[in-house]
Amino acid sequence: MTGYVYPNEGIIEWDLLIVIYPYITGLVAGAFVVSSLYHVFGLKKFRPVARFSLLTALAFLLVTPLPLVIHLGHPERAFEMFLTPNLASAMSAFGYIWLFYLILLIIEVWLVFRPDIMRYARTSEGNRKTLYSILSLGVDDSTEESLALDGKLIRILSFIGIPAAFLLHGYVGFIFGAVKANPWWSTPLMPIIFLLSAIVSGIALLYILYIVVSSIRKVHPDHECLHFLALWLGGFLSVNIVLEGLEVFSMFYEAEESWAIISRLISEKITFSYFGIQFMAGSVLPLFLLAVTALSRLEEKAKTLLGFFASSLVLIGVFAMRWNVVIGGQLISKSLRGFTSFTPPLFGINGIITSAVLMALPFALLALLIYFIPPWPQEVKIPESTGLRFRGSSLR
Amino acid sequence: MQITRRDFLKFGTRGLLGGVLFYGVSSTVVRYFKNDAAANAADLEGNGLEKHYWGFLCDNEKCIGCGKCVVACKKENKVPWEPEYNRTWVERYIIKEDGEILVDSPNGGRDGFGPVIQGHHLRKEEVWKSFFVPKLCNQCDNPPCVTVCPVGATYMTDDGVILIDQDHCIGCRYCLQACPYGARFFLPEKGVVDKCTWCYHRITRGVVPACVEVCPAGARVFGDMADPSSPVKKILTEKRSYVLKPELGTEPKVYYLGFERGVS
Amino acid sequence: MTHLKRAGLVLGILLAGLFGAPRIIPVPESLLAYGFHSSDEAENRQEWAGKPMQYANTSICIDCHQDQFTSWKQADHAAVSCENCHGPAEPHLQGGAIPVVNTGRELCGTCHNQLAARPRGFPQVDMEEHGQGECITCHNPHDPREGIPPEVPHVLDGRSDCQSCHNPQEPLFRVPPHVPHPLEGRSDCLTCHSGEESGGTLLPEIPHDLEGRDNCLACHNTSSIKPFPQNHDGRSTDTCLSCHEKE
Repeated sequence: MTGYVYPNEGIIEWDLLIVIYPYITGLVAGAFVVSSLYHVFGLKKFRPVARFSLLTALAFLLVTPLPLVIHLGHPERAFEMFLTPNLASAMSAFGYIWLFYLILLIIEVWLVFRPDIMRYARTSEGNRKTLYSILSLGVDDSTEESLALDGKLIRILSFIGIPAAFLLHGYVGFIFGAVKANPWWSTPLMPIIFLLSAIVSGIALLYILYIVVSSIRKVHPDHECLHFLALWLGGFLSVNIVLEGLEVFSMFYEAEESWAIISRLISEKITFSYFGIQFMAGSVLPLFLLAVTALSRLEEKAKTLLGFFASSLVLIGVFAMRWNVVIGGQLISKSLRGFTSFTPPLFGINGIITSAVLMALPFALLALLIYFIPPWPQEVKIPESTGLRFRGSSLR
Repeated sequence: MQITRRDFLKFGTRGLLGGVLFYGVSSTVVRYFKNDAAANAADLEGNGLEKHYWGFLCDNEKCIGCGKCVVACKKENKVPWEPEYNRTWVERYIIKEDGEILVDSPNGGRDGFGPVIQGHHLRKEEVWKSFFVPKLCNQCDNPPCVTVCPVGATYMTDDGVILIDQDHCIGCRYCLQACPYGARFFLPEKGVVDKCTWCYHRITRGVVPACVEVCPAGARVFGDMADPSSPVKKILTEKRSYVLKPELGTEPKVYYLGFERGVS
Repeated sequence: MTHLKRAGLVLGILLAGLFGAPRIIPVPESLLAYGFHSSDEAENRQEWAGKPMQYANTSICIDCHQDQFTSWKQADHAAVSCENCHGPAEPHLQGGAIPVVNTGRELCGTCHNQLAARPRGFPQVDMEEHGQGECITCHNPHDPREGIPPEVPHVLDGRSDCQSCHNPQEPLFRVPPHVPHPLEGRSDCLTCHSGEESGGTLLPEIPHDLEGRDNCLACHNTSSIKPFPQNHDGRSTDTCLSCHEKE
């Protein structure tokens, strides 16, 4: 503790769990945007990852409420958000938005994968046959008309899904941005910054996952698709940098009363994670690398490698951004005269291990989803029952 | 099988109507069987529980920084002694001759203050001005904490006090972030949020809050702003007062006399 | 199309279960809680008024503790509520014993140790230098100035004869307030000091309630309250109000 903090501010209440929550929701929004770019805007180059990104979005969406619920003082009362919401609060929207988006995504995934499910229901045996039959709701109808209808619905859902995804992550930004008591949080730019960094992290995640999963399946990833992903990543990343930089620059320029403590925050307390990780390593360097992949004449493998490296940096950078916003904002005392300090514990419900488990959970769910409804129809094979073994992210 | 637009619309509207009907019927049924609280309230008027409009005054010029208010509040409202949570606390401001402002509040001021502030033991010549500022929940008329509660567990009564229903609070702590004055805190044992209630259980019985009761210097004054003979109303009529962070538009109801630039 | 109908049905059932069931199946009141703040305000107040209090008003203490109360009420610590040192009254009213006061120097020091931030005129001492051991060895906590000669609040230079200002019969009377402006060109005091425009220096109004204060001399006899001016010798209590109006 330095300077003066109010007696009730000694403990950071929104800790590591609240840092990983916007990270996970962000990945949902980003993955869904990529899928919608194919389904709605017809960008054919995203076809190889379109179905995969839907599954990614679903896997992460299912984990989204977990960090929030276990952070609550009374998780068993969480349902009150549905029953007695105070609609003036941005947080009350969470339950409804998440539920709506979950239903939308499940329906869309179901519609997109229905032909596959029906095929599995026909060709598999025993328990799996029952499972697939239930999933297909006992209907084995792959006629042109029904598939065309499905296609129309998919387009509609993808279309609605874009603003829904924006809402799902934008409201998080609004939760922070609308708190006038906290000068580090309070800005109308916050929802947009959150959203852009979410899209950026989602695209980066897809980039990495596509390469990883392709190497596991021992197939070559579609380099054109990857290249296109990298292009869009770069585009969103540049807008993101501008907005994040503009927010702080504006604070510096206007030099309000809170600027004194905020400048100390970013120059003394979170310097490394802000300038070092969020800006340099997480935004500027990846942008440079992506520019190299876009503008130079390297061979495909090298470009993909650079893109992979850039995406990893982006993912780390976006995590640092969430940390800087959530924790950084609480480090400042509302007396504007001092800072508290924060070190996340290793064990415990808000510890590093719990957060690591929560971060790993979506990947486990994704693996499960891919196991049951593989997104790449050409190489559909019912996997052996030897279980899944992931062999890291080496490129082959 | 062909599906026409008409079929689709028929199906959709039927589903929608069904849902609305179901919701409407079920909630009406439930509400009919619920206890009608209003009927029981009729005989409460005239028992000293009439509506007031409470106000609080802190006189920085009288506060001696003894911290008895902090102790009384903790005992009255069973606020945990450890970890350090305070529904009310006292801050000391020392403005040095070179303009630097030092603030401290050791343990919220509950054991009084000592000669050392923020590690400095200042000499008399270095100090230009110094005073104490009692702090508590401002019971804002435009409370940001009530707005952000996702389940509406914190609410404002019609006499201007903001209370927390601790049976309803889910412990998300959004209100802690939204309060600009640091008045709220989280009770890890109970898993809910707590804050100063202006001793609502006392003031509804016509007794002043505990901190006002024990203040030996008369630095805390409590009263009914709707009653012209109340001490708060009378003092505020005579003297000029200020509030904390008025630029945020929260419209606090704790008025300060002897306010100084630099107090936040 | 069948698959859509079935999907719609499944969805409908799920949503009805999610939102409809809690309204039908008895759920703990606290979860649904239609009542918490949309209930009647009076009922809310009633519920809060039912919560126990710990601190009482000090007027309760006089019921049993008249002696201490009287000496305390007339002395300097009249502003310090009994419960400040003796703790909240409620457990004692329920039959428990009053907790023993920790009579160490720290308790007195929380108010009286010298701090720059305390208001001027508030009695402060340097705890390192002032006396030793427990404060109550010399000071009666209910009447702290009892038996203690007060400090001379002014320099002694040029003041060799105390009696030139202080009436020896009542040595603690304050010296009459001095004229704060030069007397040149001001021969007739009443041109300014007559009535309301003067700011009331002629006849001070009574700045407090008269309830419970029938005997003016009970308080205006000690050094802490503004005392009688010297020309008020021999006046009795019942004549005070004939000149001094209550504000």
